[in-house]
Amino acid sequence: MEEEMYMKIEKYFSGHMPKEEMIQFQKEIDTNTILKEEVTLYKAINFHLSDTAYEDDSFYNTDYKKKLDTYIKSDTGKKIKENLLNARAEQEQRPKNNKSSSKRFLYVAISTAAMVLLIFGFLFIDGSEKDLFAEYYKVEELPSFTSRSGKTSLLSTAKSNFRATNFDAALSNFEEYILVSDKDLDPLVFIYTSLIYAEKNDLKKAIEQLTILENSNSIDRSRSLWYKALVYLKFEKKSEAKKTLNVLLENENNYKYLEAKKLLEKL
Amino acid sequence: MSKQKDLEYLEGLRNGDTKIIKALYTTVFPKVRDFIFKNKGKHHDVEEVFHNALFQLTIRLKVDTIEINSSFEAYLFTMCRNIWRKELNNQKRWVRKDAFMTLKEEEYDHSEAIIAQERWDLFEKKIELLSPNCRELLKAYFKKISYTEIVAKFNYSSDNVAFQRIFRCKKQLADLIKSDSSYEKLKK
Repeated sequence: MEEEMYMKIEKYFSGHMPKEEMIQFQKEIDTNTILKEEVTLYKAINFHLSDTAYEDDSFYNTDYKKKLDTYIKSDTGKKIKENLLNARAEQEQRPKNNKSSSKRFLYVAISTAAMVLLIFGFLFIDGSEKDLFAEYYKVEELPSFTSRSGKTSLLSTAKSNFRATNFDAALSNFEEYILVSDKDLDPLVFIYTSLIYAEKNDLKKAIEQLTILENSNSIDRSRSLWYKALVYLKFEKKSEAKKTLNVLLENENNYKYLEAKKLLEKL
Repeated sequence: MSKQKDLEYLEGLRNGDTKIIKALYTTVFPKVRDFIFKNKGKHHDVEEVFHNALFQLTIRLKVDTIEINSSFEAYLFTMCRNIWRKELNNQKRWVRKDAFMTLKEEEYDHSEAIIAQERWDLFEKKIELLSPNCRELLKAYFKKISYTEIVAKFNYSSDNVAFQRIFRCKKQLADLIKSDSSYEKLKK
């Protein structure tokens, strides 16, 4: 295709083409198969470069699509899907399988009860614990730090690493800060270390960190209750989350008192 | 991540090795979850997106070959990110009773998503072959930076020169895409 035609395509998409010419060009596209193919490719390139990820009007009817469809619908394709779904189901149950037999019995009993509740129409339950965690956990609400003893940069690095999800580096920074700090240690750092342990799937340590804050003299110590509740939600420990929220609600001056009320209602 | 590990993942997925699938749930799933949670998604969205990505990848491995230039984990994450972006685009275009519909098994067009991902791979591969100047120029242009700013930033003498240069870079990209052996298979 001649370069002049490519220039026209570029003008057509970039808004550099006068209206009259645009109408004429549109007619050409509709009747010229080769031009239509080029225009489609340019449109796809524009979508890709503008970071839309995929074209909006995807429509394929190629031999390759037919080949894929045939394979997907075949017995082999169905088996692949089934195998992946089984692995997913096993994965979802994995932490529960590690429990002792008595706990497993309790789990089965609770699961059965939960299923009965569902069957009887309690379908209005608002999302899973993990969804609630995602809804209520807001990175931008995590505390900022000021230090009197020149350790601000260490905390700043720790926080940057945390935000960049470099959790190992962040944990190492926070631990160093805790080690070198004495009386001027800001106990709010334990919110961060707790969330890092939660990210590393270590519930016990995550809660331990928040207990340190809870037992401190900080005027912000009630924040520990809010984040404990969130950590429990992340681990789908609904009962513990509820207990923690109830403790938080004992004092209306506590951090996130109103949100805690709403969250408890949802649970 | 070593190439050996990547090969293990690819072979494991091709053969339906449950151990490998579970390993991917441990290593990649949390990253996908974080991305989707930060982009308006919920836990069941993450599960569907991840499952669909694994399924589509396995089908591609069975039907065709895959060339992965990044690490396998990064590639799987990119696939999930693209699937979720597509879903978000769909949600913007349609009013839905349920915020999550198209990803459900019975409605989802896996083959279309596979081809879209392969086209995405092809375009990315060819963008890498452009000169750094072309890449930067196209990036600026599609960030909706004005011609005036582009002219200043790239030291062009006028808007028209900038337009010509953008045109040349895009044409070069189109030619590179068309010359690839997989283009015929993937075109609409």
